[in-house]
Amino acid sequence: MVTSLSHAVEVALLLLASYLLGCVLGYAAHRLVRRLETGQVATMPTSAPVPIASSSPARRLARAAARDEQEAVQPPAPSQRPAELSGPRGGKADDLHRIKGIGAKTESALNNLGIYHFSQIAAWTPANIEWLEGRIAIKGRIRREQWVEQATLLATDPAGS
Amino acid sequence: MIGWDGIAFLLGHYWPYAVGAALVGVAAGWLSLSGRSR
Repeated sequence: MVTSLSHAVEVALLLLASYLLGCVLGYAAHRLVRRLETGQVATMPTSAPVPIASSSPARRLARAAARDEQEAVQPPAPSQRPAELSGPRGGKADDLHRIKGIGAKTESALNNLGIYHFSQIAAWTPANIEWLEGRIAIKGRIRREQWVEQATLLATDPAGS
Repeated sequence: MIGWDGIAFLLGHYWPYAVGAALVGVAAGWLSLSGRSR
C-alpha cells in the first residue's frame, strides 16, 4: 500500500516536472518566434507593403502606438456633476443594480447624488463620468464596466427582454 | 530519493504520459504569452 502510494507520487512528480518543462519550453519558443517575426518586420523595405497577419506582433504594436497617440491627443475631460433629481420620477426609482458593476452600496450612493433612473446614467457625458469616478467608483470603472451603455439598453428596454 | 535509476524506470514506463504532460505545458506556456500581449 505504502509502496504503491509512493509510486503514484513519483509518477505525479514526473508528470508535473514534464508539464513545467513544457511550460518553460512553450514560453521560450513563443518569445523566440515573436522576436524573429518582429525582427523580420523591422527589416522589411517600406516601399513594398506586405500584408501582416492581424495578430502579428507588428500589427499589435502599431495598434497600441495608435491608441497611445489617440489618448495623448485627447485633453482630460473637465469634471462636471451630472444632472440630479430631487427624487425619483413617479416616486419609484429604477433598480440601478441591474447594471453589472453597480451593487447595493453604489446604488445607494447614486441615489444620494440624485440619480435614480437608467435614463440619467445613459445621459452621462465624459465630464460627468470624471466627476463621479472621484466619488463613487474607482477610476476607469464606469467606462470599463460600460455603465452608460448598459443603462442605455435598460432605459430603452426596461424589461430586459 | 528516487535517483537516476528511478527516473529512468519511470520514464521507461510512463514516457507517453510525460510527453503528453509536456505538450500540455508547451501549449500553456505558449498561450500565456499570447494572452499577456493582447
